[in-house]
Amino acid sequence: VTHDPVTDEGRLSVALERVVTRFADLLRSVARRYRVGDGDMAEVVQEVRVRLWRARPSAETIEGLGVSYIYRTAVSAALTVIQRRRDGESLVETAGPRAGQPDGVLGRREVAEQVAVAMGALAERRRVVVRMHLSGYDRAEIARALGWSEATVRNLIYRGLADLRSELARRGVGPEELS
Amino acid sequence: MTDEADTRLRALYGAVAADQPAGGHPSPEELAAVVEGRVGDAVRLRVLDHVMTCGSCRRDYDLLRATQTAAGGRAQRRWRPSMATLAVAAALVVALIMRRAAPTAEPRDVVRGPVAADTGVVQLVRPRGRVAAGPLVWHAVHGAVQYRVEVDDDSGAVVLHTTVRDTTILAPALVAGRAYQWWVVAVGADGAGLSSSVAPFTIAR
Repeated sequence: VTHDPVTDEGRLSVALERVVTRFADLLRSVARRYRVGDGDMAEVVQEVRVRLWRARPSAETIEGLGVSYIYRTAVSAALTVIQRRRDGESLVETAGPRAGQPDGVLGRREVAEQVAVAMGALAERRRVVVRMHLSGYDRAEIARALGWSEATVRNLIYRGLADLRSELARRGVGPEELS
Repeated sequence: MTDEADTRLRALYGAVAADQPAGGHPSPEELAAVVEGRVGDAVRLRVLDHVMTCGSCRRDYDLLRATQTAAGGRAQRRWRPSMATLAVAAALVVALIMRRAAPTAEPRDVVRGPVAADTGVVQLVRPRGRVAAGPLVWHAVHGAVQYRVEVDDDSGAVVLHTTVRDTTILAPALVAGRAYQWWVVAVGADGAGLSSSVAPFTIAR
């Protein structure tokens, strides 16, 4: 069987772009929900494209790629993007002192510092759930991340927040400072 | 507990607590293991305790979650190999065995990467124009045994000049916003060179 390399290459490009585009569309559709920026998204998509290219597929085999293959490729692409970013960050890491805050903000900052310290006094399960809750993750997301039921998570958030408030009160941060 | 009090606590938490990492950074692989639920409660809690107090790890964690979801975290559970898929897989195995067994008339490529159309030049994939930082990628060429890659900056100084067998290399520390140009020469077993065109590019800030 003889193959026309020009036609093969064209068909491969089309097939590969179809797979990449499908993945890029799915990633874009969830990006906002997961707070992922355009730059990170574009990098992962590009890395997936590079990996599929390097796997030396043919137009036929790329059409038959299973979901699990695409999944592994995408996750390892994301890991590469993260590692690359960390390598870059370590070069520019600065640990200078924080800039001084204007007077009006100081009180609020002190309260915030107390919140951070009080958080350390919570039991681990409650602390992690409260951290995720205060970071803006909803109950379903927290439940999925921890492998627990939503009822358990709701309970832990409720008890954790109560613990946090009483720990803050013990440190002299009352409801007035928190409202 | 009122919604306003919750909002206020969130703001206070975000102001400081989300910027004071608890414990060391988990490796990217460890983060992926947590996202995929491949670890026990103890590791999961330790890693998430850190992630929720570290801006950069949280960005990594969210990126992995989004990738997992987009790449079929959900679809994967539904996916069952159909007869058609099994047939394709079987055909693939046969094709691979045939390719290994049959001696090819052409000299075997020793380089990795897909082979571009025989256009008589090396085809560059990326970077071109304004792009995010990332690897340099080009199409493989039939018969090439290695590639010479060169990157010059806008003053004409050589930033990178290296010889590789792969068709992808990681760019060195290129400065964002600066203009560069690059090209690749494919070198055959007999030493003959086949060049790409010169591609200008800029790393986006």
